[in-house]
Amino acid sequence: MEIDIGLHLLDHQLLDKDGRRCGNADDLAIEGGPGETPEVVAILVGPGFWGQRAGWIGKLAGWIGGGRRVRVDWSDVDKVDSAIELKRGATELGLGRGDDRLRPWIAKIPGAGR
Amino acid sequence: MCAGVCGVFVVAGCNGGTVDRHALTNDSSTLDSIACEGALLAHDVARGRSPVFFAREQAEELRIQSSNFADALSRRKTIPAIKDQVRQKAKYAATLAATLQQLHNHPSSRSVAASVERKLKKLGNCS
Amino acid sequence: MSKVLGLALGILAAIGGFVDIGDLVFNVSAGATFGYELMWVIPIGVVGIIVYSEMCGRVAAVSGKAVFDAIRERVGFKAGLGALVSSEVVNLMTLAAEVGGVAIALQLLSGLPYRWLIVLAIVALLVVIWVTSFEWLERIFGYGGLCMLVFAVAAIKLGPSWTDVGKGFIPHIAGDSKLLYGYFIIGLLGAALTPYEVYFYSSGGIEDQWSPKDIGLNRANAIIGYGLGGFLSLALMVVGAALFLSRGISPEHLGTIALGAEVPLGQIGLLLALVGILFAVGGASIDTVFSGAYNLAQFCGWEWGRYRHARGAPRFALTWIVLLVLAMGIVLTGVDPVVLTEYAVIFSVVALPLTYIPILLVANDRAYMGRYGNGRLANVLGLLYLVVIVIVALSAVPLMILTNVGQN
Repeated sequence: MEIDIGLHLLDHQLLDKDGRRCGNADDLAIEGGPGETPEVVAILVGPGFWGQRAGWIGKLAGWIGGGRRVRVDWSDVDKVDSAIELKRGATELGLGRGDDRLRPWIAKIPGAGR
Repeated sequence: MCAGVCGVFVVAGCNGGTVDRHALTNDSSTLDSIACEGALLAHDVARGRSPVFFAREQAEELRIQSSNFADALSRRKTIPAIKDQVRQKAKYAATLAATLQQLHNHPSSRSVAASVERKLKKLGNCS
Repeated sequence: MSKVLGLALGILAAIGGFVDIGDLVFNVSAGATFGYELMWVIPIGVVGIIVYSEMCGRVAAVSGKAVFDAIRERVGFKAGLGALVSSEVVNLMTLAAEVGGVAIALQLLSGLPYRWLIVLAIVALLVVIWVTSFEWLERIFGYGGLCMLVFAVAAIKLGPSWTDVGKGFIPHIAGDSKLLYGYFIIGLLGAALTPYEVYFYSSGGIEDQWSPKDIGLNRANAIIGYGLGGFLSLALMVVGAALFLSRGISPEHLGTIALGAEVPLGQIGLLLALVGILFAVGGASIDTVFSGAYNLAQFCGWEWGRYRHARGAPRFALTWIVLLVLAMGIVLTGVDPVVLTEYAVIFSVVALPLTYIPILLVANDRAYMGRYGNGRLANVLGLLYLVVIVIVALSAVPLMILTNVGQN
């Protein structure tokens, strides 16, 4: 797939197979040396990757955010539309963990499903 | 933007320094403003147009403001030339606070309100 | 039916956002200081917020992206993070100011102690937001805020000189106190161009699942809603000018503003004013706290939205809860909400270009907008306001320092 990487992938929203928002494309793993066409092999998700995007501010923000790193293989990408749609569920891919971990606590408060 | 933010706080904080002519003029007009607003409030209370809670709380707000001025103006360092005037203003602020206290204590009394209105109008030179 | 609800979203957003504590403080103050001389600034502010909101609404309807989604994608992580941090800081200041305003309004209505009312206000907001659906929130606060119309009646009843009012609409520079005049121009524009309003509005549009066919509704929302807010701002300035200027009163308390309705209209006027202020500022608190949560969630890629419910979007829910608690902490330190308001408005104006510029870029980007990108009118206005916003942002802090936060 030839896509303008900057325009359609980086920093875009990830949606799992159920349409659940599960992170942004915080960075990309690209392979391909000089002379070859660069290919995106994985999408990198998580505050742990912010440091390499924005220097020390990014590192600080990443540390505050928990420093998590998740690698989503390109093979898990279903299609790239206005968001990046994935083939599998967020939990399977290790995404959206923050929400999953918080959910049982929030759910204890009455009315959380309203 | 960060530098701007810090700069503002530093400069704004500098106001709590020595009282000079400029500060005295500013404080004077603020005190007059408090007096005239108090007079306006008292005017409404005297005509029964003001709910009790509102009159009581608003009079208290104004009293606290003038009381703070009375404290500050009687204690802060001033440039020597205006020292007497500043202390005079402190007394003015204290009188203002005491008058407003009356309104605060009797927020439904029309007669107290009428007398407070007269006093405040005189103090603040209100139109 | 949903078109009417859609309009209610606009009205809530407009009343709550356009007549929030910043507008209350600056418009009445401007009138009390310069009479009708600053009337001309208000329509400029109204058109500005309409232009900004309409663009954000259109971006949401066409691309399905809310403001911070679009910003991060378009200008990248680093610039996006800068925009996020500055927005969240200003947002929290604004939220604290609004919450303080709610507590003051409650105190003037009940006579209960201020500190307790701060806690009560936060608890009430937490419960109301948690329990009430978006539609009902919009209705309660939007229509409750309409009590603010009492200031329009008050303005007329005070019998201002309408020729003087009219002259005020011609842009001009004041004779004396030029620095203070400039400070008020900045403040009035800052109070009108509230960014949290725009974030709330565009995210709300996505929650309402706007699509390109809702663009017309988007425009109507923006124009009617903010127009109404602008009309109320004019009324507030007239009240300040007609009642306070001649008496040498400089409004420094919310109660003073309410007095502006009591003097011409008696007890009813005062009660409507206090209730109106309560709902307008309360509604603004809700807009502000949601906007803070929307921005963070969108930037980080979390699930977000009132419609997802707390279970569906836990981190989003926790964010607005934490923001309210932080705001409560700020107000409990005893900082004067009116003073905090002035700082919040000025800083929000300084940060405004950081989010306006990316949105202007996105609204012009055919890849996002297809054939719904900015047309000629939108771009002429968009660029014009870009110039205005940048000038205002650059002069805000110097003027604030030079006039000692409007004390001169």
